[in-house]
Amino acid sequence: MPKNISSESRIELLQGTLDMLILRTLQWGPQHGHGVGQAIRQSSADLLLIERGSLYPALHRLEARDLIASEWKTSDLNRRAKYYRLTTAGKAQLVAEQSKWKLFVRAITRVMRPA
Amino acid sequence: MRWDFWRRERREADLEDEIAYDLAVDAEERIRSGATPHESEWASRRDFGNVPLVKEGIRETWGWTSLERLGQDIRFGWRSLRKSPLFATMAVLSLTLGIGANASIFSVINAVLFRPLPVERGSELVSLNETLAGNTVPLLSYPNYRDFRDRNSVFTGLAAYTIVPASVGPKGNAQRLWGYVVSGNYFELLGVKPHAGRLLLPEDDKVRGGHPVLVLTYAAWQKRFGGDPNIVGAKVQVNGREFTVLGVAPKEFIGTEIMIAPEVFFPIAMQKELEGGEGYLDRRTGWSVFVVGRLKPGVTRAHAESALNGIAQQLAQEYPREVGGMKIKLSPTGLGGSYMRDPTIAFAATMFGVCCLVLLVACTNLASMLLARAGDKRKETAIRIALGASRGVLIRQLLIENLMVALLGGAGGVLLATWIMSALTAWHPPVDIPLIISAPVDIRVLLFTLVVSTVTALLFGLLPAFQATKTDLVPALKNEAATPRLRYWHLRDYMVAAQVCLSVLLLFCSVLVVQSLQRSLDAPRGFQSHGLATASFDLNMQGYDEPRGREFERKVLDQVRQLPGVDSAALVNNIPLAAGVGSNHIYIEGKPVPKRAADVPIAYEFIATSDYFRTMRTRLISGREFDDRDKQGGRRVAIVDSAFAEQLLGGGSPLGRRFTTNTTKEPIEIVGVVEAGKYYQLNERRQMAFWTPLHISYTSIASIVARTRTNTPEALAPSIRGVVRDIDPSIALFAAGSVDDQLSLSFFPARIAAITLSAFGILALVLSATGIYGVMAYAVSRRTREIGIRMAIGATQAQVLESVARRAATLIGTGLVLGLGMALFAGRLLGRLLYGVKPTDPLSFAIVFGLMLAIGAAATFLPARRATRIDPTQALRQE
Repeated sequence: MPKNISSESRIELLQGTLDMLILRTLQWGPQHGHGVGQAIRQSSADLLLIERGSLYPALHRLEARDLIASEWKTSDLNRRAKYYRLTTAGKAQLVAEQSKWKLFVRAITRVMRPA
Repeated sequence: MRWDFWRRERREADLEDEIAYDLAVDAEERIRSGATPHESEWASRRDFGNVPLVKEGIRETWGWTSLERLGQDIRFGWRSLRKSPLFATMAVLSLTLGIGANASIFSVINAVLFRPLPVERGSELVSLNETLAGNTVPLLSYPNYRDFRDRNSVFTGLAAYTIVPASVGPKGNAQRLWGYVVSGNYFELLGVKPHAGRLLLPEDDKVRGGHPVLVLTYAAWQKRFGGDPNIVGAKVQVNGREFTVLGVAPKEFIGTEIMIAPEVFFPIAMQKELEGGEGYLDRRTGWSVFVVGRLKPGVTRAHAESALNGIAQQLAQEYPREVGGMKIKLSPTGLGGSYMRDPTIAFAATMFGVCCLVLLVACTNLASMLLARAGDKRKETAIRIALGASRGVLIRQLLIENLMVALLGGAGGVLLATWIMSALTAWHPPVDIPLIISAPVDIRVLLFTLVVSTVTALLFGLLPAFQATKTDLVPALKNEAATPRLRYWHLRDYMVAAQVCLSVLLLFCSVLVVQSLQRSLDAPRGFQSHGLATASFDLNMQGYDEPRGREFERKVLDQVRQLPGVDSAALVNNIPLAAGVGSNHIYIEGKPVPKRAADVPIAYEFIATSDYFRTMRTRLISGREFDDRDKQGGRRVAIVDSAFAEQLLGGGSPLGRRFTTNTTKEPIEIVGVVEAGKYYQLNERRQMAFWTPLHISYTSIASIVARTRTNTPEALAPSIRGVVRDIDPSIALFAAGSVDDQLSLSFFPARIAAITLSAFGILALVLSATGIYGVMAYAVSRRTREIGIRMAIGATQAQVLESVARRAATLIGTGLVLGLGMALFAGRLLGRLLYGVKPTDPLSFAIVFGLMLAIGAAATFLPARRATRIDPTQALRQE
């Protein structure tokens, strides 16, 4: 993994936000686990680095809750990979999480705003 | 299950593939950005983190893992036990013994105390117990029963029953069997439905002597009448009279006493015809019938009891001489009211306590073995923790392993209990009463065993499991000794002390009880049973009246006395300590009659012929034995025992003093005094007794007693049988053999208790011996290196021996002191159960102290000697 950003400037994920990020990433279409991790890293401009030790359990947890589904497909590298996609329930969950998140950010910003 | 398994396999494979794909893609990306393949693979793995741990985290999300994890743990536990078969066998075996003992005692408690009678709503039934003059007996007189039945408003009904022997069968082939004589409402009250025909009804209990009818139990119908389909309406002979069979009771119904199985039921209106004599249906004194009642809905036992005592007070005013001071107590039905129930509960509770102690010793033993094992597995545990296993997981696995051991032990315990119980059911005590001891291992016993096993597993497993997982990784992995600091005392050591302590407690209690039983067996009984032959007969059953009966008894006695080998012989109505005894109120002439019946003294009453005391070898203190002067119509005389003389006649010669009883209003003159003895139970306090001559008083039920010259009473039984057959072949003798055999029933509980307690005491001793040995041996093996160093720098063998043995001595000594302290306390609790032994009995203390010390020394010596034989050079090279 390329390390062009020093580890100090990376951000620890807030608890519970990883599920939302995964759902959001899968909105663009089916993706395998590694791809989900890369996508989050890239779209956060390398600020968020997802530990795979948390990523995979999260994927399986979402799958167990029927928010995402999986199937084995051949990847671009011509290998079999497990692809995850959003289910209808997952889409609804993402909408709900997004509005909750907006509220959360607004609230935190108001509190933390310089006086 | 198969499908689940298949799904699990596939999921595992998928997970493997998914992670492999991630690692591969990640490594390829690294190669693209310039790393070497080797570097990138390692970097990728390092970055991913602990693969098994991630996998474990993922498996957690699958939802069905707890069950699957349990399966894994069980497989793991099984493997781990198989790796140390010796430990597993020892553990399972000691638990089998410990849990088996508990399950057996519980089966008995369950059968006797918890299972309701097999009748409709059996738990609503209560029995009436009468307290009069300090005696509580589960029997009432029949007139009292009738008054309680008619005056109370708290029972839906009260029924009376009593147990009688009768000869029943087709003409010429009657057999002596036991039946209930019951009031007409008995079956209605219990809600029992007939198997065939009908059961007894109130109409069958109207006219005295007017209802020659009976009901058979299912078992009697099968066994005595071959299940004859035409049994209803059949005529059978009962004590020489013709009775009609009304019907057959259902299979499960065996009366209202758990341990006595009747075969036939008669209406109580026929009591006099069945039992002979004057009958007791009109006698207000004495103990005649068991009374059982069903409480009305909403009536509590306390409420019913106070209502009955209100009636008892009315009766006391109406009949002050007969029932003044009478009190009624209620108890559950099934064990002779409270009469057998209370001692049974006390006995069962004691046994149960002892069993729990044994189990506790087994648990401590296992705990110390587990601690030693944890020491051996320290490195393995450390490796597993280093690889990421959490402490919780390790504890869980250890506990499951322990639970498996406990459950195996529990299963063994159930098998053991089943075996003991079937042996007990198959065993018939050598008595003339149809005793049944049936305590099957049922679902309640199984549940109990399961709970006990689980609790046991927690008891012996929790502490070692916590201890085992509390490991400092670095020294453990480096194979260093467990204790870098010189921590001298270890949890294992406390276990040894605890074990010694418990064993001492257990041993002391069993030594006390065994001694107490021995003393009660050895206590003077007032006669010598050894070498006495006996046989009993019941003349009522053959329809003998008094003149014919007297004639028969005279002939039998004359001829038995002529038999070769017979030194002397006599007749007596009851052999003391063998079965029931009668008692009577005593009114001494010249002493004021107490106002309340409750204050009138009671003495056991026996009826005997001349030569009785000589035959029994009862010492005559003053006066004379019965002799030819005491013949029918002669002066009323009695012989009393020294307890009677001291307690009622205190001071002055008893000879010539006179008294009356409830049944004899004519004064009876005391002509002799004999030594006091035991009459009803071995552990009874000094009771009073008196004898009247059989030729004056008459009894239709009597036992022949004959003193043999050769001390072979069993051999005499056939000759006695022959004598009786020659006089009247229709007389059936019962309870024939040696008096020692007849007494065995009253000694039986004592013997059983002594045997069980000794067995438990020995078990505890063996367990603690192995415990001490195991821990000492382990300690020596752990200290091999230390001892090697000591010897290398010049310690002598004696010094090494001392250093090892001192530790053991301290532990055993502490355990002994604590145990003896607890034993003092426990002895005080036992105090009431003990006979002739003080709870502080120094001999018992000395025995236990010596025994424990010897066992402890032996268990320490072997490992200690091994320590002195350690070769320093080898010990230091090792590890």
